Amino acid sequence: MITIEHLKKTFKKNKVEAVKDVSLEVHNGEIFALLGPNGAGKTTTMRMLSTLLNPTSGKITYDGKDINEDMLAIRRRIAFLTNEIRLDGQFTPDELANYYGRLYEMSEEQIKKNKQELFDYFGITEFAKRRYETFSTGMKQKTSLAICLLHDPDTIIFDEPTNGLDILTQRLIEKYVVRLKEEGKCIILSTHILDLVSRLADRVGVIVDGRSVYCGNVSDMAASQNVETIDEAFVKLYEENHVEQNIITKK
Amino acid sequence: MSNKHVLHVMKNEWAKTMKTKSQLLLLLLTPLITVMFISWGLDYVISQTSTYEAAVFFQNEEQMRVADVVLKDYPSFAGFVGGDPKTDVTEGKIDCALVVDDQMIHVYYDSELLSSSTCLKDASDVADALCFAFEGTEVYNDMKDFMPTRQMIDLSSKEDILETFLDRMTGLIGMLIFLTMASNALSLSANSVTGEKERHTFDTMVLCPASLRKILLGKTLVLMVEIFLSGLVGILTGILAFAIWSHDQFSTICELAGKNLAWLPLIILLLLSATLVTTAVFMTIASAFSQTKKASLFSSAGMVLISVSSMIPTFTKNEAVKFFPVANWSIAIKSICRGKGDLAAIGTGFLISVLIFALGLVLSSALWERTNE
Repeated sequence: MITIEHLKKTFKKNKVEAVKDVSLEVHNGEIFALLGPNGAGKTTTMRMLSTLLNPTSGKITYDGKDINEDMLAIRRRIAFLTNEIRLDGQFTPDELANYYGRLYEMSEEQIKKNKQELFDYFGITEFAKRRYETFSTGMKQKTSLAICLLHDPDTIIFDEPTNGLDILTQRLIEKYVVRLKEEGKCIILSTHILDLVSRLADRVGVIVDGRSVYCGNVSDMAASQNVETIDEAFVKLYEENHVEQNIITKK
Repeated sequence: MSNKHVLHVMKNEWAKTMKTKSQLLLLLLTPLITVMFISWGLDYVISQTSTYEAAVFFQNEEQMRVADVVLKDYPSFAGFVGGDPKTDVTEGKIDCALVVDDQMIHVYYDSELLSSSTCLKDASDVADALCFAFEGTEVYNDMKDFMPTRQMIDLSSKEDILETFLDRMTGLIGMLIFLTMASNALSLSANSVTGEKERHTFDTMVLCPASLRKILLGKTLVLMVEIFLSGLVGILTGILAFAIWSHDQFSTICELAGKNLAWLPLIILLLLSATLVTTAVFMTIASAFSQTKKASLFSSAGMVLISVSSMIPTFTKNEAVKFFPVANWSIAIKSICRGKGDLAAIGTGFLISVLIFALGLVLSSALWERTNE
């Protein structure tokens, strides 16, 4: 289980307070959707969750353990995938899997087994000896996903993973996300596609202007805002909580 | 476990270089082409100056036997017994002749008797007299006023040939070697460190349970090997170029170098010091930026710094220079080749470079982490 308490992130360089106060709870064996308009602070929150950024203040715990206590041990348990993440183009999926598997201190047998399974599922096997840079966008995304999941993490953080992909690849990834959930893994999913949220997610968190304004079941979201659909609920939450100025100006 | 991470990153970085042909070509061809071209240029200038044929004529075998020790050091002067030196000179077969008779050494140039020097009592004096004639540059001084411009008589002794070679390796070619090392370091560090963020490959790597410092150490060590190789290619090309363009003098260099191979580890140590400093400078600059364009801009300052450092001994005679890596290059190499290799100075220079490297590593990882924020 992941607990986030009063998370805050200020980028000193740009003087931007990207995340002001986010508190959420994500349980094992569920798909948690993180919603928010562009620039709300979703990606920054996810980067802090995945240990890529240090919070300015606040607390993140994984099964009760503070993220700062043993960051490297936490990294062994998580996977983070965004549609921006790329792998070194000179290498083949096979070489990439071997390299990252070794960095995750996996045994050669384990690497071979997990690689085979993931490559087969995502249809990478026949391209396993081809350079990553020669792949299409969809194939690159599937390879990135396979490499990210190679070490069998129990927490998977997806930041708009299906952006720019064709419907077939989207479905393939969605199916795999459901499979991961069924295996009892904790999945955090950030997306703008509310239809995807209704179909996949169990619970949802909404961030507006760097603040968490809702955290609850997807099925309860519309009712909690006295509207019919989650689209309407999202718009209502945004309108009620949006503040125009979120940039700290230099004195 | 952490050392394994460093090793994996190193293997991956090395494989990346091997797979990127343009990078590999740049690494090896830059020093090869630049050093070879400049060496050819230097020799072309020298070849425009015509060297005159010279000979020493002895009266008897005994004189030649005694003088042989001196003649060996002056390979341009062929030794003859008897013959007709005056005719040879007049007919243009030989441009300069030293004629040894019973009492004197006469210097002829283009059939003109320029001078006669040193009274000889017997054959045993010939060696000393000849040596005096060469070393005191009497022969050259006598003739230089008669020679047209861009003509010379090669009075080089073996030591002089070595000196020419060393001047070349520690002067213009030395600076070129550092310049190519620095330019390779610039492109490789920008690609390996700054480029990771630009290509969005940084996050995947940082998410692994390996600390950023270990990742950076792995990358830095590979960069170090690459820069060392680039410097080594530069040095070997300098030697090869000398062998190709100055092949008549190269055997003398080989003969002198082969006498005692103690110079080899000392030169490797000097190159290693330069590599450590170059790596530290460029890694630090590359780590401070998240755009290769900006990193390259600031790296040009590093290139100037490294190249100018190698020229410091030409600006100052200060003794302290011999302790500083890169700057001690020319002083140290000359002392090594004269058989007086100053191990204490080279060792101190190496220790200083290790300190600079360690400092660069700490600074780089702090800056790299900062740009991630």
